[in-house]
Amino acid sequence: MTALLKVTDLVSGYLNRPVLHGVSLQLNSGDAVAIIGPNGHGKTTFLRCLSGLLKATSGTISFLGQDVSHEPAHRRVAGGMVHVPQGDQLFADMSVEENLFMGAYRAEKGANLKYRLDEVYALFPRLAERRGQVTKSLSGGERRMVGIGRGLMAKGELLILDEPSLGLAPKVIEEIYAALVEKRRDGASILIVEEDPSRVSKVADQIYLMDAGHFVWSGSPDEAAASEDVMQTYLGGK
Amino acid sequence: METLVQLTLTSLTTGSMYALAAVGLSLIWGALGMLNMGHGAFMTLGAYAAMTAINALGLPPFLGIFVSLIVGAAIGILAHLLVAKWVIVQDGAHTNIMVATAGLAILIEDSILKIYGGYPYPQPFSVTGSVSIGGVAVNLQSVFILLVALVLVGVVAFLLLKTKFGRAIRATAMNRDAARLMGVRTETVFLQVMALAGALAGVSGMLISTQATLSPMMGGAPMLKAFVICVVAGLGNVWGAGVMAIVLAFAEVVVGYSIGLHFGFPAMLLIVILVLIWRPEGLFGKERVVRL
Repeated sequence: MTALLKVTDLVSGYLNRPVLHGVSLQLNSGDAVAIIGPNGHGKTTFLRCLSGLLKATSGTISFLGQDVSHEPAHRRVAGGMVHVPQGDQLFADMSVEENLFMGAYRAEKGANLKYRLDEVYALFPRLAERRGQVTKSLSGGERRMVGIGRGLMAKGELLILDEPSLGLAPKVIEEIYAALVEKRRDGASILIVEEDPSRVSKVADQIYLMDAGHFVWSGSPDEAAASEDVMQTYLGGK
Repeated sequence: METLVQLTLTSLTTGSMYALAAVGLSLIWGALGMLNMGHGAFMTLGAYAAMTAINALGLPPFLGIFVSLIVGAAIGILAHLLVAKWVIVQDGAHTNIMVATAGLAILIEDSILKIYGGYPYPQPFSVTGSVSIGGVAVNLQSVFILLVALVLVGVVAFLLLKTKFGRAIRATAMNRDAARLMGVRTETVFLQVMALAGALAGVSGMLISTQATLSPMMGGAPMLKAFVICVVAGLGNVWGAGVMAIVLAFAEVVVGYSIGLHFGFPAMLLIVILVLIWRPEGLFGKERVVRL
């Protein structure tokens, strides 16, 4: 098993407020790992560190065997680390298709972007209907699809998703997760952040629980389901 | 009828010069999120560079345009590398960058004053002659200015809309972090935008100087007008800036003609005040409105 992503003792935060206190994680090629935990405990900060939007204070991030801790964000994307940020962060005044093309900004010359586009449209047929529409006029679910589709356009080695269910209706969440399960079946490596373990159980092989900038628990989805007391302690009762 | 044609042409000519300056200012605002107070000085520099190249180096006058374009781009790049780059990453960058670029403007203007003195110079480049349009004599200089501006705005529009380079600029303006996650080198985009906006400012200054004279402070009034145009259009709204340049120039020219020359600019300012009362979100809105 080769490690696709290996994070060792990562410490980071904003200005004088440390958020992550030494976080380590390994994700092997073809794996799907989920990080769950309450809001405001460092999940998004961790992802921002991985993609280079935020600098790590100490610790290392190695991707495909190379230390990328000090690489700028654009180079990490070029290396195959694709981060679909929380809340979509679309280019609001661009059309669906332009947004998708931006996802393939780092694609090598001669890459078949048309084919990639068709793949995204096959996964999310609704986007094909709306391809010319500016994204700010889309529904929340459609915007999420553009966000994920834009990430897929990069054809990276690792897809990092920050709360893909955030703010969506249950029916739409199912649709989004069905697409992720399909990508998993194709062998995609995924790192996914969610608040609630029940969402990720169909997608993830391994679940990490983050609390106050530490991983406090990890295990398989089945083990998570069995450890109700742990989940209740950190995530609250249902 | 003759008056109307004449006024329309004057508005278009004036407006197209404003548009070049305003579009650049708007691009910088949109992509870098900064107000470039050095824009007027860039214009002044473009005008002096063209004059110097023609007078001192003996270049054929029409090449003056290219000189102002290149020198404008160069000062844009320098301003970014020496000033903006270091300030926009700081906390409180919004205010600091205004002070920093205003300082740069003073430096440029005072250097010009030191080298050339305060006397007004004529711009050696000029297109002479006139053509008759519908029985109205139209001087070729105006036609030329209009053409240059149209070509440049057309080139910028093409770059922004049809090229990967332009798409990266628009993406950076709309969402800087997301652009970085797509693999856009936003630092490079900043540099490109500063070069592009500087080039437009340089040419704009050169064209304006053909209508008046060159002086070290000549960039002040057009810069203020460009800013006014951007505010009315909604800061960062590049297309709006282009359109508003023509509209406000028309207002300025018509008021200047019918009421008195000195009322043109105040009329423009009055329009801004009214627009801001009616639609303040252009400037003070919580969400930055960016439409490219």
